[in-house]
Order: sequence, then C-alpha cells, then structure tokens
Amino acid sequence: MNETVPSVNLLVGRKKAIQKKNVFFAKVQFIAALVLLVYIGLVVAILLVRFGVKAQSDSLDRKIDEQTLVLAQLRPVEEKYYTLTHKLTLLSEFLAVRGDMKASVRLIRDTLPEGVELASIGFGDNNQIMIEARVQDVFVLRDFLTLVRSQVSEDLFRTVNLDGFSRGEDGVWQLSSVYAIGS
Amino acid sequence: MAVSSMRASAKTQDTKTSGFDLLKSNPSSLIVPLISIGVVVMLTPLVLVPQLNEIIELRREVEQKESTLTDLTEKRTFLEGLDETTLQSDLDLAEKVLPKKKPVFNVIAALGQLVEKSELTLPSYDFTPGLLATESGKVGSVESDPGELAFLTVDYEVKGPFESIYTLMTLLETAAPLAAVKEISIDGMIVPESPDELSGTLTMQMFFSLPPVFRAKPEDPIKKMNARDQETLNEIAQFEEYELDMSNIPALDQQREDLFNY
Repeated sequence: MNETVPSVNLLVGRKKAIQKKNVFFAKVQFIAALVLLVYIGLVVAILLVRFGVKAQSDSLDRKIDEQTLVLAQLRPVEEKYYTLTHKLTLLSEFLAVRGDMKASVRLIRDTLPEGVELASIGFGDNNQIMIEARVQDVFVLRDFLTLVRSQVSEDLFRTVNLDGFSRGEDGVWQLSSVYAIGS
Repeated sequence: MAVSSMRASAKTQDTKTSGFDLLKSNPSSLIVPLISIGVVVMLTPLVLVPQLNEIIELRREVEQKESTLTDLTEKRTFLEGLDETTLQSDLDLAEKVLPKKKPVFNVIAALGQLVEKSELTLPSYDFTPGLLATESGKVGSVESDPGELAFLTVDYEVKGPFESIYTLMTLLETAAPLAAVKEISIDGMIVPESPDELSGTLTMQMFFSLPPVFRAKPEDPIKKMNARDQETLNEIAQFEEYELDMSNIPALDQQREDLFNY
C-alpha cells in the first residue's frame, strides 16, 4: 500500500510576499530620499541664485556710485549746458513769432483804408496785435470793416476782434481791434 | 483540490494587501518619507518662498540699477564729450542776447543806438528799471523768477517817418540784448502833407532772464539741444551787440556796492 501524500509548500508565497514588501519599502525610502535630495538641491540652487543676484546688485551699486562721483565732478559743465539749453529754449520760443509780428504790422498799416488814422499799435503776448485808430466818417469805417472781413477770409489773420468803436462829439470814430496772427 | 484552493486564497490575500497596509505594518519605514515631508513643509515657507520673493525683488532692483547705470554712463559720456571752450562761448553768446541780469546800462545804450540807427529822432525817454539788488542782496529780491523770460520797459518819445519803425523792428530782430517793440503810440501827424511822418511814444522791451535754478540730480536725464536750439544758436550768432560806451561812465568805487549788479 503505497499511498502518495500531497505536499503543500506555503512558504513559497510567503517568501514572495516578504520580498515584494521589502522591494516596496526600499522604493518608498528611495523615492523619499530622492525627493529630499532634490528639494535640498533646489533650496541650495535658489540660495546660490539669490547670492548671485545680490552680488550683481552690489556690483551695480558700486558702478553707480563711481558714475555718480564722476558726474558730481562734471556738475559745473552740466550746469552750463543746462543754462545754455534753457536760454536757447526761451529764445527759440520768442524768435519763432517775432518775424510774423513785423510783417503783420506792415500789412495792417499799409492796407488801412484812406481816412483811418492809427493812434497806437500794441503787441500782445499771444501773437496779438492791438490797434487803436481814428476814423473820420462812417463810410471809412464801413470800408475798414470790409477790409478786415476780407483779410480774415484770405487767412491773412487768424481772427480779428473789434473790441469796440465809439463816436465822439467831434464826429470822429474811435475804434480798437485785436488781430490774432499765426495758425 | 484543497491545495489549489489554498494557494489561490493566499495569492488573493497578497494582492489585496495595499501599500498603506504594508507601511502600517512597518512604521520604521516611514521615517525617511516623514523627514522628507517635514523638511519640504518647513523649508518651503521658511526658506524657499522668502528666497524666491527676494530673488524676484532683487531682479527688479538689478534691472532698475542697470537702467540707471546705462543712463548715468550715457550722461557721463555725453558730458565728457562736450568741448568746454565751445560750451562756454555758446553760453556767452546766449547770455549776450539774453543777459542773466537786468541790462540797465545796455538798455540805455542799445535802445538809444537802435532808435538813432533807424533814423528816428529821440527827444526823450522814460525808463523805470525797478528793483535792483545789490551785491549783498539776494536774487529773489529782483521782481523776476529765475529762468523766466523777463523784461525792462522803456518809453521813447520818437519822431520820424513810419518806415523807420519797420527799420527799427528789422534791426531789433538781430540786436543783442534781445529787445522788441511793445507798443507804438502815435500822437498825431507831424506834417499833414506827409502822413508817413509820426510823432509818438515807442514802448520797448529789453529782455533778460535770471539764471535758472539748477537742481538736477546726477541720475536725472540731461535735456540735449535739439535741432531748433542749434538753429537758434546759429541765428543769434549773427546778432549785432549794442554795448554802452563805458568810457563815459565814471568808474565805480571798488569799496562800494554796484547798484546795477546782483
């Protein structure tokens, strides 16, 4: 009677499970250590970058100080240059309008109708020419107004403003007007 | 049959065991992961974030400083490139046309010469120079703001042909110091037969500008001369200077203050 007894080796599964468990633990440890190392590496890299940028900033500070020192020595030159450009700006603005004034005075006076007698010519700050005149009769005044209207329509003046006209006891008309020149 | 079912049961049990259960079964294996998490959690707000913020701030500062340095270097190169002799002569020229103080004597000299050169006769003139600071006085005591275009006014009684007024205005266009006719008041025709003859008062302005206050810091940009400024400089170089003949003026006692200066 030779009877075969079935054998069960339960250790094979157990052994495999333990091996698997160990591999898992090793992986976890490895990943955790790797994360830690990478993170520390990142922190170190960031610190290095920060020190680098700080060093760059300090170096720039030194260079700026050097340039500032040199510019302080050049201050008298800069002041002269500033004064010059300032004066030239004032002069440019002034000279830009002066030529028009003379031409406009000539135009105003030379085209006045006969019978209009100039009493004064003034020059305003905003490219304006103010005139005061005496007119002998109303017909001359009409001619003057016609002339002024045509001068504006021909763009010889930007605007002409009649400030007022009055008639005195002697029958002479007094008028004042403001011519705006330029565009 | 029984053996195979036992094996299958053991296998199923193995696969059902989760990683979490495994970790729970061996707490010592959690040390490194926990340290990692602890380090990350602690260092991130304490070190990483502040450092990153500081880097961002420093980068911004660096960019600003680089820009400042570029501006300063450009300014320095520009100023060093200026020929001081030319600059001084240009400034002298500009100050001849637009004096830096009230041109009291120049007004008398220049306007008188100009009126005569225009063939206008000059019976009299009325001149009110206004406040004059002394050597010990302050610039602020003069009624004009530094750097602004200011003027002195002179009234001239003149006689002559109206054409002379145009001549005068033409001469004034190229006269140094800078002057302009402000008003022409006509008293009336001198000779009725020749209406071009006039008698009247010429109100003239003589311009000056007190030195502008220079408060620029080294890092402030420099305003460079433009084409228009250069044109103006070339234009005023053609101006004719009218100076007072100082030989007629008694020399000032050096021990006393010069009332016409400040």
